[in-house]
Amino acid sequence: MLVSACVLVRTASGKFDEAVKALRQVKGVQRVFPVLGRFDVVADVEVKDPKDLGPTILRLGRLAGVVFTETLVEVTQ
Amino acid sequence: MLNACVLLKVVPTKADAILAAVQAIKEVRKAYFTYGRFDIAVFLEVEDYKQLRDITGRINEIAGVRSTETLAEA
Repeated sequence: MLVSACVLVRTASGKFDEAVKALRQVKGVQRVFPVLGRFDVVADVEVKDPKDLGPTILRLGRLAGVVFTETLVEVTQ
Repeated sequence: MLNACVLLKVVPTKADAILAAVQAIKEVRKAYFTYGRFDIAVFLEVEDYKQLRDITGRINEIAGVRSTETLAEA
C-alpha cells in the first residue's frame, strides 16, 4: 500500500544545493526542491510499504547538509 | 515551472470537503491528509509567484481552512 510523506528539511547554512542533490538520490523521493520560508528544502517521499517509511526518513536525516527534518506522514484510509 | 508546498490547518468537520476542493485545482499535483503539525499537505506546480499567490488566496478562501503555510521553490 502506497504511503506518502511530506518531509520538511533544514540544512546547514548555504548547504541546500548539496542536500537537494543528495535527497534526489534516495529511493522513494518523488519530488524535492529548495524553498523560501521556514524551511530550506521540501521533499515528497513515497514508499510502497509503510514499514519502509521510517528507515527512508532516517536515511534522509543523515544526508550531507541536513540538520533537521519534520515529517508529515500521510493519513491512509 | 515553479514548485510549491502548501501546508494547511483546517476545521476537522470540513476536512474532506477541503481536500476535495484542493485536489480539484488544476495546478495541484498531489494533496493528502497528514499526521503532525498540519492537517493537509499540498504539492503544486505554477507558472510564477503571481499564480502561486492567486492559488494560495483561493485555498485560503475555502470554508474551514484555518491557516496555510506556503513554501515556494527558491
